Amino acid sequence: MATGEHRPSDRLIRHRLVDRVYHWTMAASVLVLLTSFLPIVGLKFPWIDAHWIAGVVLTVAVAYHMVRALFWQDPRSMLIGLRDLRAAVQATQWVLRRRAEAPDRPGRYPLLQKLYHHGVAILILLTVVTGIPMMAKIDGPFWTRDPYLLSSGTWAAIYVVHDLAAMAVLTGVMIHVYFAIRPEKLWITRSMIFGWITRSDYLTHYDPALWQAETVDESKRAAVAPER
Amino acid sequence: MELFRVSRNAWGQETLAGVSWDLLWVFVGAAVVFIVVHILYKWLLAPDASPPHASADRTEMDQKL
Repeated sequence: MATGEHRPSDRLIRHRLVDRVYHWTMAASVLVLLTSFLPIVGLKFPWIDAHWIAGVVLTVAVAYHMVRALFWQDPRSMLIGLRDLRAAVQATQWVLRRRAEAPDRPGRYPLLQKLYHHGVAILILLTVVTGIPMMAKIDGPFWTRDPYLLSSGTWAAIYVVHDLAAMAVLTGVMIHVYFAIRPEKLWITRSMIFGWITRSDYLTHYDPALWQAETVDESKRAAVAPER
Repeated sequence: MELFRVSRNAWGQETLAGVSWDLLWVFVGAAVVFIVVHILYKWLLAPDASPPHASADRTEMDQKL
């Protein structure tokens, strides 16, 4: 990049605005959905309307994210490859003091972030797929309830899968929030709020050969270019 | 601890209604155990995460920029 005109920004794009809006929309809807567990611990409130509305918001957000991730972003960056596995072995050896050198740095997404994403994606998709037919059990603004839409055995399977996936999502959210507030991870949390990481963060945590991050300046100039 | 919730239909038959809410505490407990173990690991065992590659890359990147 030519820099004769001015020094480039020290901030590099980690998450674009649309992706941050998606993340926080999903986060808000999941938190609303998880409040439906509160009556179980004694905090009674009319949760059903909030639950199905948040479920619809989550469904639309996930559908949007899937289309964007598959066609506008680089889905290959989320695949788990030999390089990830090699780095995992190196990391394990490093933790066990069998290796002096720190493990190889990853591309845009480290292995643990990929694993967390894929695990939560499966759980969220299970709750969405089972939650949609559940809406037949309640009256809504555009439909009337039909609890006999499916057989009792099918309903039982749907409820079991929905309940288990939702509880597992709660586990995932607790762990996710824990890492988000750990001091050494705050730069990642900041990037999900403001979109950028510092060049120092970039060089410390990523391999520039595997992820060529754009500066904020470059991003403004190439706002319509496809993201890679 | 029950694993499932059951209800009775109009004919008095037991039908499966979902998993037991008791399991919620298993999932919450799993998260708490993970977090506590990770805190202990970071506190007692984790190697110092110094950035060995950063300075070399910074020089190279500065030259490119």
